[in-house]
Amino acid sequence: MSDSSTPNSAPSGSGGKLSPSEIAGSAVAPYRELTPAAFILGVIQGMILNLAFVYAALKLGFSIGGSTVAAITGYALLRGVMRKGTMIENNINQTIASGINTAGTGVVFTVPALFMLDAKWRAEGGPGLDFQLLPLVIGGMAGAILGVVLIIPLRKQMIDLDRLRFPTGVAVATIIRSGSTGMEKARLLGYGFALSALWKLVMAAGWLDFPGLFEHEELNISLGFIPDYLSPVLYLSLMNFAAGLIAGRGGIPYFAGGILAWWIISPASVALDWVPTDLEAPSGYIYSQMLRPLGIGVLIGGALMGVVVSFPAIKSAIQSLATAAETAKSGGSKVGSDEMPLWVLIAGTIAAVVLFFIAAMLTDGVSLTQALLSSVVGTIWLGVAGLIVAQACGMTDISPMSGMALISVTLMMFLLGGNVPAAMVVGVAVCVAIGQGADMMQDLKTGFMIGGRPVKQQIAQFFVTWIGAALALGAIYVLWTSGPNGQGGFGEGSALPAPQAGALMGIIDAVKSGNVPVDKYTLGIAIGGLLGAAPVAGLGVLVGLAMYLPFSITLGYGLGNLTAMWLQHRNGTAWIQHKMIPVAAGLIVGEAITGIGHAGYSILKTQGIL
Amino acid sequence: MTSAEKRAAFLYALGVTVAICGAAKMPAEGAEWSDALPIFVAGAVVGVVGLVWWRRLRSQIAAAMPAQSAPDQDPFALLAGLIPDAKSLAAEVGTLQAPEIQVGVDRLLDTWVLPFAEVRQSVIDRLGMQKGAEILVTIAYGERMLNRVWSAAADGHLPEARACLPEAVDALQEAAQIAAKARETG
Repeated sequence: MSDSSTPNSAPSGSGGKLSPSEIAGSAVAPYRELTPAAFILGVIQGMILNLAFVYAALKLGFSIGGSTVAAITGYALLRGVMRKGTMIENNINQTIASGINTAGTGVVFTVPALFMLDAKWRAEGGPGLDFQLLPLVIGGMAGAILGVVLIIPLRKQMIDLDRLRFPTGVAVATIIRSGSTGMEKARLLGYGFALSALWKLVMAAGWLDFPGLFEHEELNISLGFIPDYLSPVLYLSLMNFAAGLIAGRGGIPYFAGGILAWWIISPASVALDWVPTDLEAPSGYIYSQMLRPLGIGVLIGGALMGVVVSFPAIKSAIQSLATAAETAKSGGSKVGSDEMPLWVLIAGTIAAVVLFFIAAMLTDGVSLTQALLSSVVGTIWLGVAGLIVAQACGMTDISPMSGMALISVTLMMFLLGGNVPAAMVVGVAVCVAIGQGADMMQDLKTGFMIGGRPVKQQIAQFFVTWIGAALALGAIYVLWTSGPNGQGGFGEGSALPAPQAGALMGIIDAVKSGNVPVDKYTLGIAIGGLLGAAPVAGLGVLVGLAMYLPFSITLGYGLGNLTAMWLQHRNGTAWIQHKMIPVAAGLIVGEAITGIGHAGYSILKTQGIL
Repeated sequence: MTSAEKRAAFLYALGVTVAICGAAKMPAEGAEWSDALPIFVAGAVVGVVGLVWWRRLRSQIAAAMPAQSAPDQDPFALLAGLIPDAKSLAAEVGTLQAPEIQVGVDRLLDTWVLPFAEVRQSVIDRLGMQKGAEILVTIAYGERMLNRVWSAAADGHLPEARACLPEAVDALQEAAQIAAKARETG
């Protein structure tokens, strides 16, 4: 497809190379990539998506990535309206928009718990929680910067070497290219979109709901005889299935982990009388007390061992960052010259750690030693958690953010003597950071597939990353104070129940009462290390994730893996790339867009506008 | 997998499964660790034995690999085929229009680059993590530049497409040179 407003002819030198005089004499505009139009559009979209998804997350308990929405809008505005947008320019737009949006997700999963806990403890006659907003803002901004700078050296490992799939990143690349890949691929994308959108609408509206058989988008497949402890439930999400399709054979270890957890460990536990016999539905106990905390430990151990095993490659990536400027100047290899320079990453890390320290010092009850400890340990943990979440997203499109938030708050409460506001400053920073890291990697995957220069995406996200955290915190404060007597604007019993924050509140209460499953975390880390050392990439992270998540999700995803493997065996690799991937991308986008629309509809209905 | 590898992997999986079972049991009221801890330890030991056995077998197989790979499974054969094809496209790109450039890039990707990516692990198995990573990262750079050529052609920006293709070829050639040198020095 050729855009008539873009000059597309130029004198050509021998071998296809343009000589310097030809370039100097050419009236050809540069190939648009990091442009003011992409920057401004990305910031505006990012801010709108951030506010919308903060509200939706407080209402519904989940948030949605904004990459697909931003890519579609960018396509319409940059190419349709402005008639000069390029694919890599649209990639910059969606990188900025999703970066600002994702930072809000990290805030909305943690900060509301502070407001709600304060109100709860005061209502119980206690002194409540004394906290300030400024340390949270600074902590969130520190986390946003750290999330971007710490993940950048891992780009080569995750995208160039491991070739992690990042299914949503693939879907976004397919959207960005859809107008130029011919009508066939655009049509397949459209079919997938229509099917998924219609299915999501049916699910969200509850038209097929039948108590005991089909509820909350889950199908009970017990057939009346499969016991509850085998978790015979299937999550009927086409987006989840499509993520499995895109992962293909690579997702099988994750599926195998789910089968291990629910069809071997769970029945073995019941048979050995390790599960209380008076429970009507033992699966709830098995999941919450046994598999989920163990899964979190396995995730951590698997990720740490992954770092050990791939250390030579990570070291090589950091060395290439350090030498890239020199080799590029000398006309040598350009490989490595497409990343942000190492000095920027180091400066960014130092600046963010200082911000982290300032945020801790501004929190009441934190000594100088505690502030130093929390900023250093918090940064290290933030890096590890970011690696875990980025790998998990890369392999399965699923982010264990709430599990990482749980560990962060628990760890910091131990280090800071039970100081909840101080622990939450670190918790906010970690959640924002891991969201940014996973989002950055996903966007870099999209950039790889369409030929974007990583350094431009990194620069773009680096400069805007702080906006999302500050904006989301402001929105949460405004929403809280909009309640009666200037508080209670969200929480249980209100129009915005904030379920994720409610779960974190429960965890903080448990930590305060000494009820932390240390055995599960410790043994899980050891198992994760053993799995991570296997000659199967990411085995620890995949099995840990499978234990951490409900089996209904793993089962749907695994069916996608098996379907993709069968299709590849039957039709070959090229068919997968040119036919299956566009359909799968459409399935992901259709559910995302419809989910957003339904969230907006629910909110307007609650407000009485509809 | 060979049958020996399968036996090693089975022993490893068995050990890990037993370890997870032992770790899953809840401690008794007031206790910090459950009484199934010995089961966890036994499983972990079996898992470690299986893992060491499995890794040793894989190292032996990787060392024997050059004499046994089929051409479409041998990353170095794929690299050898990619370079002349890529150079040929670069030589004629000045005369090609956008759709032809896209077709040419698709051919390089489908015929050589993506199949190479499928078997990339054997590069690391045969040359080690450090050298293998250097080669794979350089190939990935070349692939990304090929994707950029495709995008620029699709956007109608032929100068960018024509300028980036030699960059892609240079990177792929650099990877081939690194691989050749690494195989010589063994």
